[in-house]
Amino acid sequence: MKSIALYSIKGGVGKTAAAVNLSYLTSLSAPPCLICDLDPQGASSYYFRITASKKYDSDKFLKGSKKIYSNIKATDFENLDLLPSDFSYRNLDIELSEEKKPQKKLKKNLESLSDDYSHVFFDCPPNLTLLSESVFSASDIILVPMIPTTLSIRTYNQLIDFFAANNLDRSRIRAFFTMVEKRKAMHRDIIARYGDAPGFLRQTIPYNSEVEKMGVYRAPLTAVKPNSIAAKAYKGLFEELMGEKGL
Amino acid sequence: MPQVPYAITNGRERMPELPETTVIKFNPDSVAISVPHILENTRYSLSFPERKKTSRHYFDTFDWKAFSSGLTVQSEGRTLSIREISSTRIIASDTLPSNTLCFMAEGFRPGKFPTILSHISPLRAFCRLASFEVVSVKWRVLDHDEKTIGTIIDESISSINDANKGPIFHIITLTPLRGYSQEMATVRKALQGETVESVSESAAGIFQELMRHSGKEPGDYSSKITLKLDAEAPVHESALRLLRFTTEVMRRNEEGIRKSIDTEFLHDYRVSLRRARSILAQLKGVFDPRTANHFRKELKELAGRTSALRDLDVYLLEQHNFPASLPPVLRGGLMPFFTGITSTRQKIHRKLDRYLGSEEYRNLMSEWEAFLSVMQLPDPDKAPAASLATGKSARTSIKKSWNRVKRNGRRVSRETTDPELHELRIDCKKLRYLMEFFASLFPSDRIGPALKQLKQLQENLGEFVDCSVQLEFLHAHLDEASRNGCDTGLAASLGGLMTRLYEKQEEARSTFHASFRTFDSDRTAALFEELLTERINK
Ligand SMILES: Nc1ncnc2c1ncn2[C@@H]1O[C@H](COP(=O)(O)OP(=O)(O)OP(=O)(O)O)[C@@H](O)[C@H]1O
Ligand SMILES: [Mg+2]
Repeated sequence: MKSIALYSIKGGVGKTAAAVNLSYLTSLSAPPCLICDLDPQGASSYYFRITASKKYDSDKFLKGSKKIYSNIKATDFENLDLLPSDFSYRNLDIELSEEKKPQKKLKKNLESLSDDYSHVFFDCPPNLTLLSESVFSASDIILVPMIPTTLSIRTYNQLIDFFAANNLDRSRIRAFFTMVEKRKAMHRDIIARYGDAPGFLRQTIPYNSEVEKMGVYRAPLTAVKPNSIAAKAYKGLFEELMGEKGL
Repeated sequence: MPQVPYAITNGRERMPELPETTVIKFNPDSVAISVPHILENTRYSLSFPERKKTSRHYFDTFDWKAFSSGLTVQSEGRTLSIREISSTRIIASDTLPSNTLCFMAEGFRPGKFPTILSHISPLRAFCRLASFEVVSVKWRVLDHDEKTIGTIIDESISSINDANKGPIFHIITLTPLRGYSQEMATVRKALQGETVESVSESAAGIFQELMRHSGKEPGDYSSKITLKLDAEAPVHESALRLLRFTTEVMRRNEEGIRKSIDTEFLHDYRVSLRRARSILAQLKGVFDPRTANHFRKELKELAGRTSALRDLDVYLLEQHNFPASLPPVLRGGLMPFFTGITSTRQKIHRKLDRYLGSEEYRNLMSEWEAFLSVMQLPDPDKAPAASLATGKSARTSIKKSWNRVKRNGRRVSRETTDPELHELRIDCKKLRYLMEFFASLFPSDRIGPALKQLKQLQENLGEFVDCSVQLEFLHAHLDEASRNGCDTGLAASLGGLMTRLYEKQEEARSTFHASFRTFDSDRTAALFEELLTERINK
């Protein structure tokens, strides 16, 4: 099982939008796929119209195996399942810190799913916390969406520094530009400068109101409007990503 | 079927299987029930219905391998699918070659579907067993967020031959999506509550009913001896039961042999025939020797009539493996060899087909079956052992046969000559048959390990003998080809093959002593002693 985390320190950059669309595309061409919603806000669960059962919470998530299996739910799309998040996930960090090896926890808990899914996508909450560290060691690729601004570049560098400081393998980090507005000079400049930098994917995702409408469709854009501009961009991103070594 | 929440494999927890499908069966004559109407009283709603009318065909191998693996193979229109029987979930699908009554994995382009087929049964053909006319309506069940929680399929199933007689089944199938079993249970209860005439069943149960309706009984064929013998009964009676069993197996395979459906029909037929001969030969004093010898001779002749066809089948089954054992330049030479074999097989098959339909065969079998139906004990002067208790007779004959294997095995020289190994193989086979005949008299945890020891030795000997038989065959083939002006390509390829076979044969020869030592160990001795001195279970 290959694991891909949609991660960024900054919020509202399109992690969830990418996780939802990329996992759907994966379920079509490299099934079966699991999307693991780690954000207490539960945005990706919402996009798939899924709510966790009342008995499910962060405790069960940390217990792993059985507790996780019985809470996985099928989406409306074949070969795409989802492990919903619960509001109690907001305490995950504190609870993780009480574990023996918090960094390894996620990896360990998902190990037993490795025969059941070919790919798992993590939809992460923003911030750099103990949970993020656990995600880093559980992921083959850490995929970072970036709005092309100087501030984004700064936070991206913070992430790189964090990896270096903690002896983590930064070659697993991939960035791509999203919510790109060609009419903005700063977007054009940043992309020109970083577009072919190592670790940056070529495909960019344009700013497009169709993506926002996913909240109305409550389904991946790539499923309901596969020919829209943004869906095609996600498709391109998916193909580029799958070409990466180790995926 | 009970729902197993967590299947354990290799001691590791695994994802639970998909939630099981439930089927509610209604009286086909009862008033139509309206699914949408019933759902109005629940928290759930339905998607737009999809209506369909199709012919559905079910397929399986003669020995029900799909069914016994928990799968169904079915077609609707040109779509062929393999499904999990309990969840009705599609595992793989492909296109049905048009108008096909039987198919094998080879008939498909490489992919998941043929891979699973050959996994279910590598050698058997999947044949059409039952056909139905199905009128169906399918809905998705939606919750308040319009999330699908499962599907409902309402089906009216009629026999394909007399569809105008009306449906024979009216079923509603509820399939929860993963994680929505509880929600769908509410829906199920609502549907069930609606009529007193409904019965809930597993999807597997419905499949069995559909088969029975078409005169088929899932799992009713196996060439394995499944008879439960009575340890106290006279061995003559038990022997007759065994012989009737093996004869029944032969009978059931005749049609498949004649229609050339797959090679396993002939194989099972021959195994049963050999078993019958072995009973006649090994249970000394159980039958009147004159009668026993007469039938031994007849059955031997019958076996002889089938062996040429089996030999060719063995080659044709190897058709895809042989080339890989040759260097690429020699592979082409095998083409004429296999085309030759294929056309010879046709001729030989026609001959056997004619024989199996002949008066001569009919007479032989009815004479044999008449003999098997006489339960009276034979004259004690001619058959002094006939009235012995089956249990005692089983122990003595197995013990004798086991001793012979040990004695002859220990006598095999350092050179391990061909005749020595050929003979020992026959001794082992005899012992194996005896153990299989009488297996039901022993506790399975005793006979199992003893059989396993024997099987390992047989594997080594089997490999040796198979190679030498094939070598002989190829040699004869080469001889004949050279008389008809054989081309050098063919000669070189056959030469290559023979070299490979010879290497394999010599390898088996060189490992014989080691594998015999494993068999002739204290451990095996202990297993057999325990088996044979143990009080036989009743
Ligand atoms: N390419 C895009 N074009 C236009 N709007 C977008 C695009 N990508 C995302 N959005 C919108 O931006 C908002 C934030 O996106 P999203 O939820 O995917 O980001 P996120 O990084 O997961 O946020 P959070 O950090 O809160 O989890 C959403 O309303 C989404 O619809
Ligand atoms: Mg998000």
